[in-house]
Amino acid sequence: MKKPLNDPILKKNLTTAFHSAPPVDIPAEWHRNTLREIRRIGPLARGAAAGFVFSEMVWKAVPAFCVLLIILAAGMVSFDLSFETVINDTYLNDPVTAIYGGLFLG
Amino acid sequence: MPTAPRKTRDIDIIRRILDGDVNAFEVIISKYQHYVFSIVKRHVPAQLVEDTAQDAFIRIYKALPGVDNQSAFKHWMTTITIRTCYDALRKQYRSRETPVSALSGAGEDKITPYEAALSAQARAAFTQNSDTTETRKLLTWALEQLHPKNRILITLLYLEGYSVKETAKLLGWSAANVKVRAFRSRQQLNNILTHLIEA
Repeated sequence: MKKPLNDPILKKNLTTAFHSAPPVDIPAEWHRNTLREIRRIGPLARGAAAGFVFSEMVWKAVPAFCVLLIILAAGMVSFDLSFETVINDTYLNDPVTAIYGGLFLG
Repeated sequence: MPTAPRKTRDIDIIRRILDGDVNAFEVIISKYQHYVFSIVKRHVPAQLVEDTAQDAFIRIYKALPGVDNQSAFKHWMTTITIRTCYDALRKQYRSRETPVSALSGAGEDKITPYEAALSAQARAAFTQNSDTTETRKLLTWALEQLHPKNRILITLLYLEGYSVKETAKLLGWSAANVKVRAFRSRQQLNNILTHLIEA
């Protein structure tokens, strides 16, 4: 005999039964009590709204940040390559000036 | 309940609440109470539904400053509600005060689910899907025998159809933990159900 959860028919029966729970009537009293509890807690900490607005702005700015990041990354890559090329050229063409220049001129 | 708040964007309501307008949370409660209740009633015994739903809304309120993605507000609320249900189950499991007869819900007959499970009629209902109410009673009783961790996993993974990744995210566990525990939970529930069917 198949285990109940391995039996597709039984599993379907269980799932159907699980989802067939009758709807719960929400008493008006529950609504009032919940709101009373919330009021008892009182307003949320000061600065909460500032943080919320900040996070909201951050999310809105995410696409712009991404584009900026890509541009910066591309710029860095091209800058790094050209920088290395300049250094290599300097050392190869005039190593004495490059070394003394690096040591004494900073 | 007024219908106008439904048109208000959640983001605007949240901003008002965070600006100190506590009463604005009523709009959130009115808008999502049926949704929260629909989750809670599937996870906790009937007599705990109202308290757990209230607890969920209180947690949602307290956690509002931490909402970082307003577009996923409903999903964020679901996570808090599921975790509240899990905590309610753990609390109930520790206290073990719930009478078994109360698990079938208000307005149902006074036969305990275990007694129902032992009746031939219930077994037939369970295997042939002739009576969903009887099957639900048996399932509720069987779930009640599980540890809260196993119960919430079985419910989310096998009965609600969430993936391992989604379940892990909802409960704040690792995916590996979910997989290992899911295997054990499934085995345990299989044994309980087999015992019921063969009784």
